[in-house]
Amino acid sequence: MPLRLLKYALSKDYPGTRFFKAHETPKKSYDVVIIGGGGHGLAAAYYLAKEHGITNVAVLEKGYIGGGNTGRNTTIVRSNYLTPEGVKFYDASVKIYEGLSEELDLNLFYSTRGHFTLAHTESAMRTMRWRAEVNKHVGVESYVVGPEEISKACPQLDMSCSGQAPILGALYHAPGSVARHDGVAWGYARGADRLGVEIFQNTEVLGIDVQGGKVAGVKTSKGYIATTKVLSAVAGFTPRICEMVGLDTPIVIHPLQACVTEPMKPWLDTILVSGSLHVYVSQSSRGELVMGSSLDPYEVHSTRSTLDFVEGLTSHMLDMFPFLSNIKVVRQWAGMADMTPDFAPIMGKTPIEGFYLDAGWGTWGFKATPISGKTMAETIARDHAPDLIHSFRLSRFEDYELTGEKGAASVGH
Amino acid sequence: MQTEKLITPIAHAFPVGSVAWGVINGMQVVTRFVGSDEEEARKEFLGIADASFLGKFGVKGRNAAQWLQDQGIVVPEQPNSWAGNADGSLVLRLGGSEFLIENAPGGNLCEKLLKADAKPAGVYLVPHVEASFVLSGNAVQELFAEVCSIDLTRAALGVQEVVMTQFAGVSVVLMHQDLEGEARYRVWCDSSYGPYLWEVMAGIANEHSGGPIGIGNYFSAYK
Amino acid sequence: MKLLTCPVNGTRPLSEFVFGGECRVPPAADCSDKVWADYVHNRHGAPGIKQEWWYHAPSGTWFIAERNTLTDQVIRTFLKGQEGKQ
Repeated sequence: MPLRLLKYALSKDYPGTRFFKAHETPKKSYDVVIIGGGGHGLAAAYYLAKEHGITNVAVLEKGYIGGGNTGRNTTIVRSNYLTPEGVKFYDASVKIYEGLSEELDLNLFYSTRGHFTLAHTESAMRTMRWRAEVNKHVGVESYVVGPEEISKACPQLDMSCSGQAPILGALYHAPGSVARHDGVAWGYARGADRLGVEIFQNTEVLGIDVQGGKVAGVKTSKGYIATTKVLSAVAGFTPRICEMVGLDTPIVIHPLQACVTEPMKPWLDTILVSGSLHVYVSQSSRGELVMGSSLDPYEVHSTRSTLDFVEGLTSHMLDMFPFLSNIKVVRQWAGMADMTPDFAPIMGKTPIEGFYLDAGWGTWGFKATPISGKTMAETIARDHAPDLIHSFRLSRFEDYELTGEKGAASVGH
Repeated sequence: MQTEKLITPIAHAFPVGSVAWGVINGMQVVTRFVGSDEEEARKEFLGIADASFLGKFGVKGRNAAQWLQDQGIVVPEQPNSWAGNADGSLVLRLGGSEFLIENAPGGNLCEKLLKADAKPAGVYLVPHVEASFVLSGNAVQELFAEVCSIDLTRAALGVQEVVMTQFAGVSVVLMHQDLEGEARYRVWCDSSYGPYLWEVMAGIANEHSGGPIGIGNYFSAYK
Repeated sequence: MKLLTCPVNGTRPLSEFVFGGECRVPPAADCSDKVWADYVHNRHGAPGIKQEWWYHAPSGTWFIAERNTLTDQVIRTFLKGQEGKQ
C-alpha cells in the first residue's frame, strides 16, 4: 500500500500498532511472574490469561522476546518419539500447532513437510521399527519405509552416503513440520498482551525471595516485585535461576549449534534427519538450508560458535548431498541446551511452594511450545500438574522413575 | 579345510590380484605392490609399508621396568620415549609403567619374553595386535600435516620421543627413527582401524607421487 | 581449533579428548536414599570454575582440568593426586 508506506515515511512517531505494549516499570506485585520471554514463557502467560482468567501476570525477559532458544532452534515440529509419554505429549503439541496460526491470527508459516529419520545400520532400523510401533499405538502417523520411498521423496539424496553409510530405510513421520519460530514467540506475546499480561524486555531477574519455603517475590533489575507464584521458563539459564532458590537439578548445559546456507530454489520438500551422520536438515521458506548437528561434547554456558562444528556438519552434509559442495554457509549460531539424563523435560511443581519449573528442554523445546504453555498454565492455576506431564515431574529422579526418551533430536542411535 | 594362518589386519584395504602375497613371521602380507623400480621411486617421494607382522610384546605394572631390565632389555627412562636394543628391537615406554616391545626384523625377542620364567608380582602381560606402518620420503611431513593437528616436524619431535595422538581421527602411537641411512616414521594403531588408516595414508601418498610399497624396501631381512 | 594440555602428552587439539564430567565425591555408603539419589542424578549446573575429569583418548590418560564453564577458559590441568606439583 503506497499511501500507507508514505504515512510511515512522513510520520515522526511509529504510526502502526505495536505487537505488544512496551512496558517500562513493573507494578509492585503480580499474581504470577514468569521468568523468560521465549515461546514457552509467553505461551504459559497466554494460556493463563485465556483459559484460567489469570491476567495479572508479568513476563520478565533479560534480552528481547524470542531471542533465546526460541529463535535459535531449527524450527522442526514432530511427535515421533520413543516413549508413550513423550509421543502423547508432543502429539498434543503438534495438534495445537496445526491450528495456531488461526488462533493467534498470525501466519506462522506452519508447513507440513513429512519427516524422515534415516537409518544406516540394522540396529538403527530396529529402533525405527520400535518407534513406529509406539507411535501407531498412540495414534501418531509414523511408519518404516524402504530406500525406494526415501529416494522418491528426495531424489537428490545420495542413498549410499558417499559409500560410507548406505541408507537401509527410515522412520517416516507424516505430520513432521517446520514453522517460523520467532513468529511463535511474537504471536503468543501479542495474544497475552491483548488479554492484559504485561511483558518487560531488558529486565533481568537478580534473585528470588523465598520465605519459609514459599516464594514471596522476585528481585529484578527494575526493582522488587511481590508475588507468590513464579514460573522459570529460561532453558539454558535454568541452573542459574535454580541456584537462586537453592534447588539442585540434573540439568547440564551444553551448547547446540546450527547454521544456514545461502538461499536456493526450493528442492528439499521433506525434513531429513540422520542420527548416524549427526545431521538434521530442512529448507526454509526463504530457500536456505537450515542444518543442525549433535550437541557440543562438554558443558559451556555460552552461545559461542565453533569452526569444528561447521566442518563436521558440512562434511556429513556432503556425504548425503555431494552437489552442495559449492553452496556457502552464511550464518551459524548456538543455543544453550539444558540437557537432562533421560532426554525428557522437567515440568511442574518443585519442593519450593510457588516455584514452578518448565525446563530441561535440551534439543526438543520448540516443538513443545504450545503444549508446555498450556500444561504449565494449568499447573500454576490449579497448583497441580495435569496427567499429561506427570512423568516429567522433577521428583522422578528421586523416585528413579526416569522416562528414557531416546527419540530426542541430536541423540545418536 | 584351510590351514589356520594369520593375515595382516590391513588385508581388507589391499586390492585383489595385481599385488604379490607372501608369508612373513607366520602372517600373510603383501610383499610387493608394483614393480621394484616403481616401488623404489615411490619410496623417494612417500612410501608406506605394512609392518603388522612384526612380533609384539606388552607388559605393565609397578615392577615391569625392573623385570625388563632383568631380562637384559634397555628400558627408556622417560614416559613417552623409546629405546633400541642391540638386536634392533624397539622398546616403547607408553606411560609410567607400561611398555611395548617390537621384534627386530627377523628377530624373536618377543617370543622369548613370552616364554620367560613366571612373571613376578607387579608385572602383567598386555597383548598387542596393533596394525603397524613404516613411512618415509620427502613428502612425509605433508602427509602428517593432512592427517594430524600437531606439529610433527623433526624440530618439534624429540629424538627419542613417542607421540600418542590422532591421525585422521584414529588414535595412534608414533615415533621417528633414523635407520639404514634414512628418516623413517613408525605408526601403530588399533588393528580394527588399520584398513581405514592405510587407505587414508596410501591415498595421500599417491597424491604425492608415492604409495604402498613392500616391506623389503625398508628391511633388508625381507628383500 | 581449541587446544587442551594433557599433563602427560602435552598440548593437543580438543578432538583428542573426552569430557568426563565434574569431579564429585560420593556420599558415605550408608547415606539415606534421598542423599544417594541426589548424588546419582543432580549436578551443580550453574556456571563457574569447576574441576572436571578429562580423558586423552590416544594415550588413555585420565586427568583433571580446572575450567571456567562460563568462559570456557582452562585454568590448569593436572593428574589426580598431583594437584600441588608443577
